[in-house]
Amino acid sequence: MPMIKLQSSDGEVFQVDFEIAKASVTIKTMVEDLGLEEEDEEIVPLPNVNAGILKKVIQWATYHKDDPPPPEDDEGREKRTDDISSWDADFLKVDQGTLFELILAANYLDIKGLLDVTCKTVANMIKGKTPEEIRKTFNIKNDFTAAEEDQVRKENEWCEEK
Amino acid sequence: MDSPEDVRVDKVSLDSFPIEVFLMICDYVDANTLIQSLMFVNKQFYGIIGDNYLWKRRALRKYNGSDVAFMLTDSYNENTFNWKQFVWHTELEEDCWSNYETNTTNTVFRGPHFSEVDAVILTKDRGDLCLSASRDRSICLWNTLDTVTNPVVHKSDSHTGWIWDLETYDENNFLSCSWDSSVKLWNLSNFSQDSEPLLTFAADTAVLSITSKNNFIAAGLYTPKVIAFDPREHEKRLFELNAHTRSIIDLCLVEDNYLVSLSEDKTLSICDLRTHSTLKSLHLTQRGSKFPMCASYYDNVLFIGDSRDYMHWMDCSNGMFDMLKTMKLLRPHGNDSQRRYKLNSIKCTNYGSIITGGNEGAIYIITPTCPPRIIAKIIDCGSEITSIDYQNNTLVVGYVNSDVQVWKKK
Repeated sequence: MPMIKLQSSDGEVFQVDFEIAKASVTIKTMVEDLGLEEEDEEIVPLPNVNAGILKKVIQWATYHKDDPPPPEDDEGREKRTDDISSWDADFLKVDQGTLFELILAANYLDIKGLLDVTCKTVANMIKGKTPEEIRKTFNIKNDFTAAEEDQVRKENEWCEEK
Repeated sequence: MDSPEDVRVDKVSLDSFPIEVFLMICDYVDANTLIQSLMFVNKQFYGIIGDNYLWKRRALRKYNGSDVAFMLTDSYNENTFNWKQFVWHTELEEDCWSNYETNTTNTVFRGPHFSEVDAVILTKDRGDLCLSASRDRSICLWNTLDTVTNPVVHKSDSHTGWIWDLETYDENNFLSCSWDSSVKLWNLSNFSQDSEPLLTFAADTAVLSITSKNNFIAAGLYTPKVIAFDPREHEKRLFELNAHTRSIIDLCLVEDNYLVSLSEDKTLSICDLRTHSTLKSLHLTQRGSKFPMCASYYDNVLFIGDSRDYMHWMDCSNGMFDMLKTMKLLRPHGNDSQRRYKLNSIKCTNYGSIITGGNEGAIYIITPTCPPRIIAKIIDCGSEITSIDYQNNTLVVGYVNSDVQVWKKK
């Protein structure tokens, strides 16, 4: 089976089965564009992903290597968040920084399945929370003045009566 | 190319994501959390979530390709349409009703009425109080928050004939009308067994429907007439309309200036209240074999239910009153059934749903699209439904078998 070498931003090189690495549209395109062959010793640099995150990404792609390709077109489909598999849920029991790094890596590497499941995980951390709870969860500062906050509330008055 | 060390200096956080990633996360968050919470977190999120385009994209993705009633009217403008409110309503309705068995509580008020309940309304105080009126001539006031199924007030002999319709007049007062040829204005806050009406308006014959706005009450009569009163001068009639040849089944106000009457003569008539003249009179279909039974107005669209399976949309923008669409609804026992779906009541109180009720005890909660998609079909006691009201996730239904049933979002 052909292997491919991926280099993380901090210089670590990972040898990965090409069939697995192909989950990343970015890598697949790069390899095709560069016309890399099986025997090539060429290393694909991934300057946006560090070794720790790349390792996690490879682990995810390895587990999901036999998944059917994700549907191209999301139009009209319900955006559910309650359908995360238990393996993925376990896999994503990581600190917030790592979860966010995984989202950025999935976005950069263009791995739709991983991007979807990580975005869903963050969405679940937001859903049903109050503004203050969200600020606390994600360590975000409130930069509204009291007057501005009132103004926003006014714009949204229709929410109260329905 | 940046050296690897320079690529990411700051730690990633929710507010430092590239916008396309932040939007992808928002796609998975329900509209209610986005609008009531995430938007208030900081100015950056407010800027992103407040953007009308984000909501338009979300709405179009959901209703990809199908006609939405509110987007077909003459006054619809995609740039000024309140997409945020539209999505918020549609998602809340869908969430609540697609799984109503677990998302709502359901209470049956049974006992005091011993005959057909022909009218139910929710009062304006967030729908916690509900009124029902019956052929047994009594009016009941219920607390929908209670699981106790005794009425707060049971006022027998409210009228001396069948009570056919109820209407909220304002925060403190409501109206009832009856086959005793009268319309009565009641105070809600001190409504009791011994209440006397604040005002009684005399009509010539049985009053089959009422509607009202500030200082204006219109009554549709058994004789083909619509009469109007001003409560400040209640002895005198504001005007009479003679646009129909048979009795008036239902009345519906469209904004401040128009009154729509639905009649047994199979026509629908629109009166301009500024001139007291008939603007338009029309049959629902060219063959004209159906009765218009009930109507409900929301954001430039009048939703009309008829006696034979169909729902009609009328464009009320700019005083046009043109038919937009006519669509067949599913018969409660399936389309192979010989029994038609007769719509006795229709309600559209927000962008997210249209609620219909009629024979076979079937309540349909459907999307405002053509063709409509059924969010929920509720058949509970099975008795024919005479009247429906809906607000703030409280649904109340009156039945021929004298029951009143309330569903409330948990």
